[in-house]
Amino acid sequence: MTDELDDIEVRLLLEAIYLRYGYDLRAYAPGSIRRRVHAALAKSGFSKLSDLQHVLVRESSVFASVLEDLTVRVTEMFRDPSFYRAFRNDVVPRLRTYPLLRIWHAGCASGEEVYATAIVLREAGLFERTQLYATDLSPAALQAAKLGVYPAELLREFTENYRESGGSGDFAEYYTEGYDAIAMTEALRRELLFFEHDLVSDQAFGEMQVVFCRNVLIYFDADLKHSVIRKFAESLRPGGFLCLGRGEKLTARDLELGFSEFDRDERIYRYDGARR
Amino acid sequence: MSAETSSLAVIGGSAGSLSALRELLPEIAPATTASFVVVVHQHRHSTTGLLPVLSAWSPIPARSVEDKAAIEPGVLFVAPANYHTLIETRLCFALSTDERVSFARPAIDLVFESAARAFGGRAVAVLLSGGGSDGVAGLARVRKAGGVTICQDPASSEEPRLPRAAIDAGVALEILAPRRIGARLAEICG
Repeated sequence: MTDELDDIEVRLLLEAIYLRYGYDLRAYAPGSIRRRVHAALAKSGFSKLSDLQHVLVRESSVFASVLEDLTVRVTEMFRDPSFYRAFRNDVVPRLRTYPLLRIWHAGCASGEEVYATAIVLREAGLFERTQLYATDLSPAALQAAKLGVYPAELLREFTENYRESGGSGDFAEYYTEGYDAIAMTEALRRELLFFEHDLVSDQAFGEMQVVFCRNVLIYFDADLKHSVIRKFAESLRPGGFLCLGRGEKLTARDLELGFSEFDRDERIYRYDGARR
Repeated sequence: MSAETSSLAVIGGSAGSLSALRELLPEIAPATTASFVVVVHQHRHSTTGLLPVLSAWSPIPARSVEDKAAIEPGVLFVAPANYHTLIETRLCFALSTDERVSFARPAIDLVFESAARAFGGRAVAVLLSGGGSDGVAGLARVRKAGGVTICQDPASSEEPRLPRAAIDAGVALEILAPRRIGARLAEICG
């Protein structure tokens, strides 16, 4: 099949998902979503996208599994340790001045980075006065994030990342180890607030001191990315921080919403308040 | 907005590819209007390690690939660690944190495949020294799209298994030593 026909079939599938279920993936970055659609097709057992589409619009269980395949994101505990080091050293001292902290992880996926943030705040003595919100559009991802159970084979990577991020304690204090999995401790889990939230269609979430949205915007096209940044501007208190992934940055158009660079290398931005 | 690049050369490699790049990169024509992308397997926490090294060898400016960044002519782009680099269109890159492909992120296959899709016959793919097979399927895609595929002569490779796999699969149009690859790129891409 030609690339052009393939593009058309992928777009038709995304349109069908939007019309039938209301999830709007139409402005996702085309290269990644195309790969994911084909991975979902391969998993489904159908040979053609049109066949998968036919069943998907009729059976919500098929849709649920495809949605997961299309939106799942892979992350690590303390992904990019140098970012968490900068957050500990430069952002945390500025957060100390607030009596109550509201922090939002937008697009939290399976939750590893939410737990990383919880650990940093705990070690800084700020966890008790923080409300940590974690949202994702995928019910399956959110369920996994709430559970906080991860394959034991990742433990080495998590522990190494924790140390490189400047962790001052023993990472083993934060999980209990089972046969082939680790579970984040109850003390961390019970303070986290999880919600289903779609960055494309849902409203801003107000009065935050920090918004984490790391390696989520890479999956959106440029216009959708900008409209999501606008929601973050509406969500942040003046003086608040926006943390992006290492490969992402705000464009001039995004910065005009009232952001300035705080840590250029680690992609931490400060919201100075709406500009006139 | 900058002008659209004339053609895209994607250079992938794994173990042993740095010494090949050291010979290859200085041969790039300083006034080239093509864009170059280097994808080398590296440790996931490597932040700026590769860029200054490649920058020192390259006659054209070198820059790390960023999400949605423009594919500017006359620039050598370096794929960052722990992301997949994709050629989204003829105009811009995209990054992803999707699962590793053939145990690799960045995966050479994904850059080659997406380059073939965006640039068709104006993509050139080069596979250098390395182990494993990441890049072989991508070379096949570039060839199918009408682009030139080059692989490093295994005799000149510190780790010959990857170029050997490409040759065995019949997807390498030309088999050259690193310096000759650089000269060939200067011929093809100007």
